[in-house]
Formats: sequence, structure tokens, C-alpha cells
Amino acid sequence: MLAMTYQGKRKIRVESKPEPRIEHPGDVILDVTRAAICGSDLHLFHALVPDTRLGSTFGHEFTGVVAEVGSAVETLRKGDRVVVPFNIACGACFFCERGLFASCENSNPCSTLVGGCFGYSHTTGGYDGGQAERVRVPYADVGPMKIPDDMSDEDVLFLSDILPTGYQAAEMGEIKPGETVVVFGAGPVGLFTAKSAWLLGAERVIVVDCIDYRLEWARKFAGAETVDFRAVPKKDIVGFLRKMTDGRGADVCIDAVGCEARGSKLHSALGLGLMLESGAPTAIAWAIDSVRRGGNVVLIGVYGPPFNLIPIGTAMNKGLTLRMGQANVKRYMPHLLEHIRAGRIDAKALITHRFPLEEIPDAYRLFDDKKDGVVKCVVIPPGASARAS
Amino acid sequence: MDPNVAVDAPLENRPGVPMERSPAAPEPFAPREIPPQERRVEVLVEPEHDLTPVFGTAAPPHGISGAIRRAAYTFPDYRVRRWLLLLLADRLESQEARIARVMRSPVAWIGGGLVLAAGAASLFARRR
Ligand SMILES: NC(=O)c1ccc[n+]([C@@H]2O[C@H](COP(=O)([O-])OP(=O)(O)OC[C@H]3O[C@@H](n4cnc5c(N)ncnc54)[C@H](O)[C@@H]3O)[C@@H](O)[C@H]2O)c1
Ligand SMILES: [Zn+2]
Ligand SMILES: [Zn+2]
Repeated sequence: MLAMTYQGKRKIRVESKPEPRIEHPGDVILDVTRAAICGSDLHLFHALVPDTRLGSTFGHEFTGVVAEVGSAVETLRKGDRVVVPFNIACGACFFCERGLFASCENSNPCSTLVGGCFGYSHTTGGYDGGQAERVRVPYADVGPMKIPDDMSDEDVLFLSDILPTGYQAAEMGEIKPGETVVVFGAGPVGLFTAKSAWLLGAERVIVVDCIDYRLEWARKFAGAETVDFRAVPKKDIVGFLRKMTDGRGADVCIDAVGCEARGSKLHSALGLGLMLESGAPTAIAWAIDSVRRGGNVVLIGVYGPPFNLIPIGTAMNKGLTLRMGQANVKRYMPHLLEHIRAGRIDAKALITHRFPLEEIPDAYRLFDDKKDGVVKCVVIPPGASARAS
Repeated sequence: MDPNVAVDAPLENRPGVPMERSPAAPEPFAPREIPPQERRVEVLVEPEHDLTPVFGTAAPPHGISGAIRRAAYTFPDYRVRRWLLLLLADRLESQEARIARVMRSPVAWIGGGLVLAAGAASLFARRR
């Protein structure tokens, strides 16, 4: 089968690879119909996540049709259309029982940090991902959600990750009526975070980025006020945000940027150049500095082990609440499906580019360079049904 | 402004509140007993932990980078050296691949042969 494979920093290729097989009675094999490229994939692409091995296939946001069914699977049959959460979760361990699916104990033998994820290095379990014609999906009775007959694969594709992630980010902010929320990052995750902040009752939502067309998306798609951090006087984004928020700072600040953040020469040099910290934690620092005392800071942007330099003493003295994590996708799927159905969130609208799987290297480059107005790229394997769009 | 402002303001409308589902309960069709997946490829496992019943089978360790990965996995993930060794292995694996590519390419062999031949010829010429 055709699959995207990693070949080293900024190098990927489309190759013919052996078909995945049922490795465990709870597995299914899917014929992939749509697979998206995520900001998280860029961290792998830039070799920032430890134990990202050559030849592995990325892709943790996908829909597909069930092609093979393991002997223990009860709820899925050949031909079922499903959307799959990026977390691989057993559904019954200590963490899964509590709804913390991202922390499943039964899916990642390689570290104690996090549960298994599709296509996301050996640090999350060494699973091949869905940027391929076929993919193995373990614990198939737990993760996958059947796609309702009246909805297309693209309608629900982003239930696999970025919509639950953005929603959970806003929810972890514990937004109360009348509050002001600042979202750093106007990528797909930041846009869904801003959109969710309104649903949760924010009074003001401010989105910060430095790319014009993305700030326009934040205004038009998410109805937010926007700030270009490159255009603020004296490059003082924290001072600027504090002035915008009664001098005290916002009630909730959310990092939807992650470890490739721009805006600080120091962090770019230490984290991205010298690798003395795990990428650039610039957005974390800005969030901590521009939230009000006693406020909430949420990190949904991804950072790898082992550590980053962040102003934790400032956070301590300001009495902040910090919340963060990989999204527990499964928990949000039914609720957000209803929001999509009711037209409250047009998830599919974020798809700006579609590429055949064979051209995925171009898709990565485009998404990495933020060219041509790209928000979200989706790849389509050869033979994927047209019905999916 | 968004016409749907605040539809999820009531806490009971928020699927992730409270953060830990209470009472804790398994998913309806979650397997109660999970048989172990057969180990067909080498899998590196967090020290002091058992292999999980399900695991990924992508890209098993190989070569010098693989040896470093094996060494890295002798340290638990709260030790910085685990991660530094893995980052080193990642860089090395790219170099290994580059060398392997060069060795596979006929251009390299022909080029290398020409360089050797030219060297030998010039030595020979100087002798004369
Ligand atoms: N926690 C999770 O479960 C989860 C899931 C999905 C994605 N993520 C993470 O969310 C982050 C965003 O993902 P995405 O797909 O939107 O990525 P993206 O690369 O499309 O967007 C990131 C945006 O941040 C902007 N940016 C860069 N530096 C900034 C700064 N200092 N301040 C403000 N904006 C800045 C960039 O211009 C870009 O528009 C990534 O780190 C990704 O790994 C986390
Ligand atoms: Zn993602
Ligand atoms: Zn579990």
C-alpha cells in the first residue's frame, strides 16, 4: 500500500509499504478515506519529538471504512464508516474509567508520560498513522465513532482531534460569564479554541498571531478581536494585551501554538537552534505574563520532553491555575457532533487544501510555510470514495 | 458576535467537567480482559514496566541508532539522559540512512572507482 514515511528532519516520502494486519483480536484495519495534517505533525517533521524513527508513518486525524475486523470486535462490521480519535485507549484502565483517555495505561509501552497515539513517534507507542491507504486501529470497540449516514467523512473528520482539542482547551480555561479570553495561535486549533470560548460564555475573545490571513480567519470564522504580535508598539505584546484588558490582564490565556513558536530570539535560539530546551516556549511565557493575577493559563500546544524554560516563579507569585494536556478526544465526540449538526460549528470549513496522498510532501511544505492561505490540508488516498467529501 | 454564545455555559453542558469522570466507569464495550498482542518485532519498553497488552509495531530499532535507543530505554523517562540519548539516536539514524543511500547508489561506486583509479594513475605517472 502507499503510505507517507518519515525520512529525517523536513524529509518525507510516499512509499509502498506492507499492508497493516490485525495484530490483536480487538483491532480493525481501515481503508483510509481522509487524513489531515496537523500542527502536531510539524513537530515531528522538524525532528523535535524524541524517538521519531525513520520509515514511520504519521497521521492521527483520519476517517475510513472498516476493511478487516479482529475476532474480538463486537461493534464494528466490514463497510462501517468511522472517525477515529487520535488517542489509542483501552476504555477500562484506571485512567480510561475516569475519562482521561489520553492517559490510557494499556496502549503505550514506551513511556509513562502519555497513552498511545496514532502516527506520533515511539514516545507515544510506535504506532503507524493514517496518512496511508490503510491503517491498523487497536481497541476498535472503544475509540472509533460510526459516522451518521446523513453526514460526510469531511463533516466529522475534525472530531478526530482539533475540534475536541480546541474545545477542551477552552473548557480547561474554566471560562465564567463576562470573562476575557486570549488565545495565542490562529491555526486550526486556535480557531476552534476561540470558537469554543464563545460557546462556553466568554464575553471577549482575543486571538494573537502574526500571519495576516490567519488573523482574518480569527475575525471571520471565530468572531474574535485580533492582535498581530509583530505589529504591536515596541514588540511588547504582554504590555499591549494588558492595556487591552483594563491593565490587569485577561482572565484566561490559552497557548494554542506549541513548541515551534516565533516571537522570541532567545527561545528560538535555545529551543529550536541549540536544542537546549524542547522547542520554543514563547507562547507559554506570554500566556503567564499576560493573564491577570489568579487567572487560568491553559497549554494545549504540544511540547516534548525533557524540559523548557518558563517563568514558573511568575505563575507562582500571581497565583495562577495551570491546566494542560493531550485532548481526551473520545469524551467530546458526541457533544461536538451535535454542535456540527446544529450548525453551531462548521468544522469542515477549515479545509483549505486537498491533495492526493501521492503529493503529501507538497502538502507538508505548504502547511509548514503557511503559504497560499493554508489553514488545514487533507490528503485523499487513491480509491477513497468520493462520498467522503 | 456568534449567535450561539454561552450555549455551554452551564457546567452540566460541558463534557469534560469535572475533569475526572465520577463515578469512574469503563466504556460500554471496552474489553474486560485484554489478551496480550503477539510480539513479532523488537519493542523497547519503559524500564520497570510490563509490555502493554497492545503496542505499535512501526520501525523497530536497527543499526547503531538502534543500539543507542536500547541504551536510552534502560533509563526511566524521568531521567534527562533517556531523552538526550533518543535525540542523539534520531540524528544518527538520519546519518546512517544517508550513508546507506550513498553505498547503494551506483553513481557512488562508479565515482569512488574513478577517484581510486585516478589516484592510482597519478601515482603510477609520478613513479615514471
Ligand atoms: N493537546 C492536544 O491534544 C493537541 C492536539 C492537536 C494539536 N495540538 C497542538 O496545537 C498546536 C497548534 O496546532 P495547529 O494545528 O493549529 O498548528 P499551526 O502550526 O497551524 O498553528 C500555529 C499558529 O501559531 C502561530 N504562532 C507562532 N508563534 C506564535 C506566538 N508566539 N504567539 C501566537 N501565535 C504564534 C503561527 O503563526 C500559526 O498560525 C500545536 O502545538 C499542536 O501540536 C495539541
Ligand atoms: Zn492533530
Ligand atoms: Zn485505558
